[in-house]
Amino acid sequence: MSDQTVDVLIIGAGASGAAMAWSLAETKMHIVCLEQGPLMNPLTYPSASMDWEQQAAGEMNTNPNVRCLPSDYPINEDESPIKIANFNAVGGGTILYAGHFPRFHPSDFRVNSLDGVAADWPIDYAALAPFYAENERMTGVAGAPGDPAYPQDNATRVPPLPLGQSGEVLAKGFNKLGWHWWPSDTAIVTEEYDGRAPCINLGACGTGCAQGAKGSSDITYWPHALRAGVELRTRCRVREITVGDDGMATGAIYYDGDGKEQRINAHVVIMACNGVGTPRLLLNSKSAQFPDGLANSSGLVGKNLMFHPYAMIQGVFDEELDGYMGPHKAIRSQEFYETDADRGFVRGYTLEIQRGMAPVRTAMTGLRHQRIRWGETHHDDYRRMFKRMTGMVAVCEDLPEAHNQVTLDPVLKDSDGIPAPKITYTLSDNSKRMMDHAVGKATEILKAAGATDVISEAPLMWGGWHLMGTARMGKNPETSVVNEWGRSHDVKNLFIVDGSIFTTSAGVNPTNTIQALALYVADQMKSRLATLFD
Amino acid sequence: MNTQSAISNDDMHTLAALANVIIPPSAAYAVPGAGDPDICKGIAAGARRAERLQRALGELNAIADAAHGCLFQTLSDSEKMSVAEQFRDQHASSAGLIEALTMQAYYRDPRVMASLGMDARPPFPEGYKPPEGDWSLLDPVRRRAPLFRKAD
Repeated sequence: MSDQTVDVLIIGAGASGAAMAWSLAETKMHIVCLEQGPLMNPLTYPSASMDWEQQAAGEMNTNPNVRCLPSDYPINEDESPIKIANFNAVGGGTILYAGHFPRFHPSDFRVNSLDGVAADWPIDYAALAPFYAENERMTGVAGAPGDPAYPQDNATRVPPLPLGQSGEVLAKGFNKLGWHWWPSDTAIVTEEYDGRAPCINLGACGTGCAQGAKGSSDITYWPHALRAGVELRTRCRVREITVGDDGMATGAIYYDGDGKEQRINAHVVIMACNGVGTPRLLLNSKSAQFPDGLANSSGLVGKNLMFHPYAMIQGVFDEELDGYMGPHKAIRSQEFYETDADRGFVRGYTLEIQRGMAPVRTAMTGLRHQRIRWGETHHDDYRRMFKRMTGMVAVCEDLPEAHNQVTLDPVLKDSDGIPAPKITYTLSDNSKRMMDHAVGKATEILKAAGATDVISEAPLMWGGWHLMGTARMGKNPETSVVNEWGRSHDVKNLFIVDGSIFTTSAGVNPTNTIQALALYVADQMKSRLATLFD
Repeated sequence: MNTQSAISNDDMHTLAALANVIIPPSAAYAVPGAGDPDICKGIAAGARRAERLQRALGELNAIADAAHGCLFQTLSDSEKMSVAEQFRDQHASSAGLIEALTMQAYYRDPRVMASLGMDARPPFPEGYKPPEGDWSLLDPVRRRAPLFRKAD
């Protein structure tokens, strides 16, 4: 077992770890990042193969229990109607994400003050705004300025993704109803950007972008962080954070690619393992000083797990649309984003338009919803749907509830013998009412756009993409795990920067906020170096 | 990932017969059935765990044997459809596995893709060119008043 001391240890090389590594690199400290997965080679992504949709259902599946790659750890999700989506590699979940890249809204940071539920964030939109802008510049975001659903911003944007036939049809539906829509802010570049080639509409964003147009953090932040001297060690799975007699974190014990136990000592430890991985590791870091797990004096590590419950609503049209051509995202609507008490629920949702479906997904969707049958009718059934479907998903705000949680499974372990996380989650009545509302409104839009048939599904079982709230941020150590700049209340050289620290979930995809928060925490650390542990 | 060699010839015959029930050939669309030898090889090869596929085919043959005293592939077309429906009812997970593998193999076959008007190639590196669309549709939305709540 080696024994090395570094200035900063970052655990996890996904969205937040990458942003943190890049931002701290300018300090010239010795920074090491441990990542349990590999560095991906985009040329091997499925879209370069005829069987790409089969790979998407197998070894590039979003669910680790289906994927079962050596870099994955199992998750007991038997007690959750929503299954976890993640990816364990440099870039983390951004390898497979669709790249939807909206900001939170000002109201998202004031949920308790405005709506009397959950808790306010200890920071506000204005505090994050410059870091959103920095993150968007580093990532490369397609979109258009002037969205009336947001305050004016100074974001760097390249031209939006094509509206396409699908977007045009749905835009007409929105306009007929007088409802809001806007080109999605999407982390997919439509022109050359920071050495990356523009999008060529592969339509396979969810299996990794072979073109390099999608802003996964392995190709946005990491090349810059590595050039600036950050050391990245792949296939290194951390078992626990170690602590000294003084209660400070001293480093970590991990297993290297050969399965050998290693120790690394660090003056600062930063967790960036996502909303499931981070509480798993903290809970597994028990010691005499921290018998309930590290940084857990509040008892909130692992609690308040939030997903975004997704509803999926698709329409079938007589005319031919984009089908398999182009990125999944084109436009979004936030007509129903802000709270309206008349709707029977608090908070709201974003409707994200999904352009169309590739051939196999068309078939599977039709079969699942009994629109496509086995036998002689199959071909006619299929052709009524192929390239004739478009629709949307509703990204519904989830509220924090202590009983929704990540714990350590008493039996299940990963290949290194580390206890697996167990998810316990139930949908709230508020979420159910919100999804029902979204299905109803999306159906209205699709019918206004000319759909002849509408199918829906809620919640999307495989839609546990967004993992938030399990080590939440706040000023009060009794009701939060980290303070308003990401430092553990209990362990003054331990920081958390992933979705765990979200106080609430908002109704938009979280990656832009996760990375903006990481940049914000990094900035706070840099400005407090002399007093960081006070 | 390649499990084809782990599947016996008998199992391959059963699989081909079931695949043709799921997607029969069509002269009207000039496409083979999913039981076509090349497609069927792809179905078998797609199973990440051969034993699951073998078990599923065994369950199918057990229903055929109980109902008709013979293997599935020897049944008439109408008998095959009836047994296939029982298979879906009684072994939904196994039927779902074969259904998914069948779709994954069938809808990447060059003959099928051509019939659907697609180029028989993977998405990368050529990509596609969807139309840009009419962005003037955004004009009424641009004129809307702000709809976000102020949080001050």
